[in-house]
Amino acid sequence: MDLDHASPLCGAGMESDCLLVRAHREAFALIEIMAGPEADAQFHFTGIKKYFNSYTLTGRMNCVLATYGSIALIVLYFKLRSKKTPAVKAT
Amino acid sequence: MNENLFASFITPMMFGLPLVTLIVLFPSLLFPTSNRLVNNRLISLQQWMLQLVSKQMMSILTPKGQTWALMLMSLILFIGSTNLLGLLPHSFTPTTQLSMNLGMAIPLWAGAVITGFRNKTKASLAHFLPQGTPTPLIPMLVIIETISLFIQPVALAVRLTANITAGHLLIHLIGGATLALMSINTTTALITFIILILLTVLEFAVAMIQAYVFTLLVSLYLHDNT
Repeated sequence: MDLDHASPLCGAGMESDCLLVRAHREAFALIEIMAGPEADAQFHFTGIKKYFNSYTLTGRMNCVLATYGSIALIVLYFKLRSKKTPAVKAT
Repeated sequence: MNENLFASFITPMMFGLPLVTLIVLFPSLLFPTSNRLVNNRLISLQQWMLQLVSKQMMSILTPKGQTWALMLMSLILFIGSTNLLGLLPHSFTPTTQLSMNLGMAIPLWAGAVITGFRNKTKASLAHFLPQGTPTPLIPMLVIIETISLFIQPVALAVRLTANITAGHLLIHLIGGATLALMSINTTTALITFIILILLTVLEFAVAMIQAYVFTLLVSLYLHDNT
C-alpha cells in the first residue's frame, strides 16, 4: 500500500485532514501486515502441518480447498453409487 | 384506515403503465449538478454533506477500494433520498420491495467478492478459515464461513426491506388507531398522536441510518477484499 502519495480525498489547504486520513490508513496497514503473508515467516511447521494448518495463509487456503474437495468427492461418490444401483422394478 | 393495510406497498400503476421507473428516477432531480466553482446554497450544502460522508467512509479503504467512491456515494444518496421521500403521505417507497434491495445488494456484494478472488486469491480463500482454529473444527468452520458469506447479500437486502416496511406499517397502524380513538376517548387519542409524532421522528432517523448501514456494510465487504 503506497502511503507516500496524497489521497484523492485530501485537497489543498486540508493538511490536518490528510494527516487523519493517513493515520487511519497506516493503522489498517499495520493490521494487514500483522495478518498478512509476512507473518507466515514466524511459524515453523514441519511435515504435513507445513501445508495444512490454521495459522499461515497457505495452510488456511489448503485446508479450505481440502474441505471443498472432500465435499465434492463425497457428493460425486453418492451420485455415482446411485447410478450404479439399478432402480427396483415391479414384477 | 385503509381496508388493505398493505396498499401502500403495491407498485403503483397509472392507466396500466408502471410508475416505478419514474419514482426510482425522481430522487436524482433533487441533486442538481453544476459546473461552477462556487455554487448556490443547495448544491453547496449537498457537496459539503457528500464530502463529509465520503471522507468518513472512504478513509478506511485502500486506493483500489477508493475507486468505488462514486458507486458508494451514489448508493447512500439514492437509498437515503428514497427512504426520506417515502415518508411523505400516500407516497410509494421503492426500498420496501425486496426485489429492488436484492437487486442492489447482490451485484455489489458479488463485485466485492469477485474483486477479492481476482486480486488476492490466496487471502480470499484463507478468509474462510479463521486463524488459530483447532484442527478438529476446521471442516465445520469452513462450511459455516461459506454459508455466512452467501448469507451476506440476503441479510443486506432483508435488513433494509424489513426496517422500512415495519416503520411504514407502524405509522399506518398508529395513525389509524389515533383516528379511531378520536371519537371514543380524546385523551387516549392525544397520547397515541404523541406516539405517532415520536415514531415519525424515529422513522426519519431510521431512513438515514439504514442508508448509511447499507453503504457501510458494502464498503466493509470491499475493504475485506481489496
